[in-house]
Amino acid sequence: MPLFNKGYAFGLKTPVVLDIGEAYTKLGFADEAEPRAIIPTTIEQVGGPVCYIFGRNNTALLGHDIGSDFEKSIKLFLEKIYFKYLQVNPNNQRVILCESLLNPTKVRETIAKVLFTKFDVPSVLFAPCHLLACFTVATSTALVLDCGHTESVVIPVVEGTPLLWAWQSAPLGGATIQDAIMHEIKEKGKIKSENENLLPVASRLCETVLEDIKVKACLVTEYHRAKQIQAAKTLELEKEKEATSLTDIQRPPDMIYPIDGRSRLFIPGPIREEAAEVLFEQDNEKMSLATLLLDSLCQCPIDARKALARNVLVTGGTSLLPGFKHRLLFEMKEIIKEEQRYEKLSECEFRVHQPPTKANLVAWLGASIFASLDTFEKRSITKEYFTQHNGRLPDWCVLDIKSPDKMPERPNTLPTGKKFPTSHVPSRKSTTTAHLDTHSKPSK
Amino acid sequence: MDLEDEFYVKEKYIETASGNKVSRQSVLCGSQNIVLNGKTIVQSECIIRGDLANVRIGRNCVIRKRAVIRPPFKKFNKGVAFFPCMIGDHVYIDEDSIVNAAQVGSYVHIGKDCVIGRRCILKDCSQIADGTVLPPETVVPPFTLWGGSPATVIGYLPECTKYLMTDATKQYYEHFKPGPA
Amino acid sequence: MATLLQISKVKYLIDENSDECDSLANLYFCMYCLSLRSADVLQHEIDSHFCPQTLDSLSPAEAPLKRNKSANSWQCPACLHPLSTRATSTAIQVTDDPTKSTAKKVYYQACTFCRWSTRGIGMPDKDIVNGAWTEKANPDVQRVNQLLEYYKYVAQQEKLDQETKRSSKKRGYFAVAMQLNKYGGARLGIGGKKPSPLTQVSSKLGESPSLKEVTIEPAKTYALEDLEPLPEDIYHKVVNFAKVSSVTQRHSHPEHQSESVNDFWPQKTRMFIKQSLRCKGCDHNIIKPEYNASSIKFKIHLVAVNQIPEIRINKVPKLVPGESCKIILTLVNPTEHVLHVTLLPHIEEEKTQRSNCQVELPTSDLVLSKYDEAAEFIAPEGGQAQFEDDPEVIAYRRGNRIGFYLQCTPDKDLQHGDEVWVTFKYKHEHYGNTTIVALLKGDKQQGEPEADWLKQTVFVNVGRISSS
Repeated sequence: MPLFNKGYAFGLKTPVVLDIGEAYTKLGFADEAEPRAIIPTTIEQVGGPVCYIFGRNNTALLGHDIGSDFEKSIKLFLEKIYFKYLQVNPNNQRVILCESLLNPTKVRETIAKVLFTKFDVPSVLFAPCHLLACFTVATSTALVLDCGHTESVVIPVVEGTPLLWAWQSAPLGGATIQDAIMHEIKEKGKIKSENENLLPVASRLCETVLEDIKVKACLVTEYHRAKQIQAAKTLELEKEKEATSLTDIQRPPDMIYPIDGRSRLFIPGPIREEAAEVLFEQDNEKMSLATLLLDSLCQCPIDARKALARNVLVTGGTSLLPGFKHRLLFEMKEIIKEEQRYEKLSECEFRVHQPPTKANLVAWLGASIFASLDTFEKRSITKEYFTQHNGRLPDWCVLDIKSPDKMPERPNTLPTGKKFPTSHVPSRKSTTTAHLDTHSKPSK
Repeated sequence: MDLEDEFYVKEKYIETASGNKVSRQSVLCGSQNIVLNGKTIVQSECIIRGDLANVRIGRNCVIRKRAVIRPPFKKFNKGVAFFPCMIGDHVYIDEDSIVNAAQVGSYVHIGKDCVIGRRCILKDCSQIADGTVLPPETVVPPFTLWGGSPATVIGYLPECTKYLMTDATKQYYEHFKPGPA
Repeated sequence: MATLLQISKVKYLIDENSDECDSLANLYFCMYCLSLRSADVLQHEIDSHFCPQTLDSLSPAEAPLKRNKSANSWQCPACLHPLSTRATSTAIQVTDDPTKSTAKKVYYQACTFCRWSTRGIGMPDKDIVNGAWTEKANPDVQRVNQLLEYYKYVAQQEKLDQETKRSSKKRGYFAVAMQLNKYGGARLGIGGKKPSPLTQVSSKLGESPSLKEVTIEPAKTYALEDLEPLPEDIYHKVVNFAKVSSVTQRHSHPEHQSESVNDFWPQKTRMFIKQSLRCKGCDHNIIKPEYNASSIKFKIHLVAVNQIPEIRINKVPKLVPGESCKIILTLVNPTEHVLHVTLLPHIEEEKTQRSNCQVELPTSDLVLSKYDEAAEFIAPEGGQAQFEDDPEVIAYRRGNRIGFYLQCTPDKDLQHGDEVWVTFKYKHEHYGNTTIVALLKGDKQQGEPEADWLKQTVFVNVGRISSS
C-alpha cells in the first residue's frame, strides 16, 4: 500500500479522512483501503457519563441552538481523533469530512470553526457522503441509500451530480431497531438476577446492551416469512387473546443474554426477525425503506431511472444486518407489482452493488479515494477563505458567498421539513468535476 | 484541598526510627524480606507477603486498610518462581486493593478495590482508577490513567503529577496523627 | 493526587475575556507572556511515538511508516488487551529415526485476561519470539488500488482538459476544439476513452506529462436472483451470544469485521504519543518531554503549580445561608523567592459569575517564605520568627505555606445541598527565571531580580450548604 507523500505539496502530508456518523466515526488517511479506527462518536470525561455528541439526549444540541457546549464537545472529540487515534499534527494535514446533505449548517460550521481555529488545519472539505459512495464502485450514476443510526436517506446521483430534489428520508435506522427490541423485551422478556425469581424488565436497558442484542442476534427475515408473520399477527389481534400459534413456520428459539455477569435476560426468539421489520413495514404514510428508494426514483428524470435502478448502492452500518439487501430488493419488486403509484417503475430492473468494503465504510472509502486526487486540494475550503467569510461556508443552497455583507440570512432553526429548491437541474459534466460543485469554492 | 487529620490509636501502631508507621494489626509475612524506606504508613489488616519474595517499598508511601501486596509468580516447566515486588516513593495504595505487580514506579496512585495482575509494571506517575482489574503482565506507561475490566487507558494525568503525588503523600503523613481513640 | 487533593475545587480564571477556568494543576504558565494557559489554547505537537507495552520509542518520522502500530506488541481480538507471548516446547520427530523425537521451543500468543490464544483459532506456533506474526490483509485491497489508480487517471485527464481550456481563452481559435473536448470528457468517466487528439497535442507541447491510460472494469451488480437468501436453518439455531462478535470487536478490525469469534485474528497494538506544547502567542515551548517513553522528566516544564502561589481549602465550618463563618484557606509558595500576596475583592461584572457568597478579605499583605527542598529535614520551628504574623489573619505558618482566615457569608437564598462558591482575586509577585530574564533583557550582570506583579482570579468551591 502506498502510504505517504504521493503527489502532495511540500510539507503537507496525506489528508485526514473523517466520516463522523451519529453512532460511530470512521477515521483514517486518504489513499488507504480501510480506516485506521472506528470509534463511537462520544466524548467521555473521567468519572462522568459517556456522551454521544449527536445523541438524542445531548442537551447541547437541543433547542435548535448550538452553543459553546457543542463546540467544546466537538473539540474534545477531534482531540481524541487526532492525538489518540491518528497521531498526527493537525496543522499540516488537509481534512475531508463525509457529510450528509441534510447536515445542519450550524453543525458543519461549528466543525469547520473548531478545525480551523483550534487545530489550525490548512483546509477542510465537506463532501456529500452519497456521492462519495459512488467512487467505491466506479460509477457516476447510482441510487444511494444510506441507512444510518437514526435516519435513512436516499439520494440519486446522476453523472456525478446528486439530484437533490429527489431526496427521500425516513427516521428509520439502527436506533429504531433498538427501540423495537426494547419494546418487545419489555412486553415478553424476563430478567433473572442472582437468588431472585424471573422478573419482567422494568426499566429501559442500556443502549449498549440493546445494540449488542441487535448486532449479535437480529437479522432481516425473508419476504415470505415476514408476510406470514404479519398475517398471523393481525389474526392474533382480531381474535384478541385467543391463543393462535404460527404453526406453519418455525419461530427462532428463545435466547439467554448475560448482563454484567450477575443476571440473565430471557429474550423471546421472534425478536430476532421481528425487530428489523420496522424498517420494512409500511407505516401509516405507507413509508418503508423500499418505498424511499422507489419514491426517490419516481422523482428522477425518466431517462435516468433505468440506469439508477441498475445501480442501487446500499451504505450505512444498519445495512450490515444479515439478509438486508435480499429483502430490500424483494420488497421493491413486490411493491411495484402491488401498488399503483409505482406502476411507472415496472420496467426497471433493480440491481445492487457490492462495494469493495463493508457497508459502514463505503462513504469513508469514497472519501479516501477522492482525497487522494489532485483536484481535492482545489475544492477544499482554505483557512483564509474561512476567515474572510466570517466563518460561513458555502453549501448546496448558498453556492457562492461573495462578500460578508451580501450573505443571505442564515436560518435560525435546523431544517425540519422538506423545503428544498427544485430548480437545480444537473448539467452534464464529467465525473470528478461536477459532483462537488455544490460545495466548491467559487472561482475568481 | 488540604487533607484532614486522621487519628490512630498510638498503641496500635509501631513507629520505626526512619518514621515508618506500621499497624500492629497488619500481617507482614517474612518481615526480614520487607523493606520500608521511611515515612511509609501501613494500615490495619494489610497483608504484605515477604515470605514469597523480597518486597521493597520506598519513602512516603501510604498503604491503606486491607490492601494486599504479594510478589508475583511465573510458571515454568519445572514449577513456579516468585519475583520480588518493587514499589517506588510516594505511592498511594487505597483500601482493599490487591497488588501483584513486579514493579510499581514512584508517584503512583492505585485506587480502591483494584486488582493489579501478576507481573504488571506500573511506571512512574500513573494512576489506576477505583475498581480496576489490570490483567497480568500489563505495562502502564507514565501519565496514563487506567480503568475498567480489562483495564484500558481512560485518561491522562497532568504534567505536574509528580508534584501533586509528593504533596499528597507528604500531607497524608503529616496529618496521620496519634490521637484520641 | 487529583482525587486525593480534590484539585477541582479551586478553579483559576484563565483568560479575562472568557470565563474559562480550570484547576491550577491542569494549567500552564507561559513565562514569556506571563500568563496562564490552558491545554486548549496551546499548540499540541507530537514529539515521539511509543509502544505502550514494550515502551520502545519511535520518532514521528518513522512511526507513520509503521501505520502508528507497535512492532512487537499484539492485541487480543476479543478483549483488546495486549497479548503475551508464551513459550512452550513440543516434540518434533527426528527425520531419520521415526521412533525418536527432540524437544523444540515454540511460541504462541495468549491473552492474560480472557484466555484467547492463537492456538485456539488454529494458528501454527512460531519458531521465533518476534517477527513471525502477521496481520490479516484486507481482502479488498486490490480492487481499492485499482479504483485509486483509475480515479487518479481521470483526475489528471480533467486537469489536462482544464489547462487546455485556459490556454484556449488566450488563443481564441481553440474554443471550438475545447467544446469538443468537453463532451469527450463527459464520456471519459464511464468508458475511459482514449485521450482526445488535443490532449495528445498538448502533451507533445510539454504542457503536461503524457498520461498512461487506465481503465477499470465496472463494478459487479447483483439482481435479486443473484443474492443468496438467508439459509433456512438460521431461524432454528439457538443464538450463543458468546460466539458472535460484538460491535467493539468488529470495529477493532475495520477491514474484516468478522461476525464469528472463530475468525478472530491478532492485530498490532496502536502506539501512544508523547506531546510537547507550544504557546501560540510567543511560539515558545511550554512543555517538552524527554524522548524516552518511561521517563517522567521534561526538558521544558512550565506548569502553573511551579510558578503561581496556589490557593487550597484547609478548613471549612458548617455553611449556613446568611450566617457568617470563618474558613481557612491555604496559600502555598512553590517558588524559591519570598512572595508577597495581596488579596483583592472580585468586582462582580455583568457576566454571571459563580460567586454566591459574601467575602471579607484580610487587608494586610500575606508574606510567604520560599520553598526549600531541605525544609522537611530541618526542625519546623526554624525561620518562623522572622515573620510577624497577625493571629487574626494567619491561621498557621508551615514552611512555604500559610493558612489565612476568610470571613464569608453564604447568600440567604441558598438551599440545603447547594454548592457555595467564593470568588476573589489576588495579586502576587512573580520572579521570572533569573537567568532567562537576564538573557532576554541582554543584561550582563544580574543584580536583584525584578519582580512582576501578577493578578489571578480564583473560584473556590468551599462546600455545600448544610441544613441549619
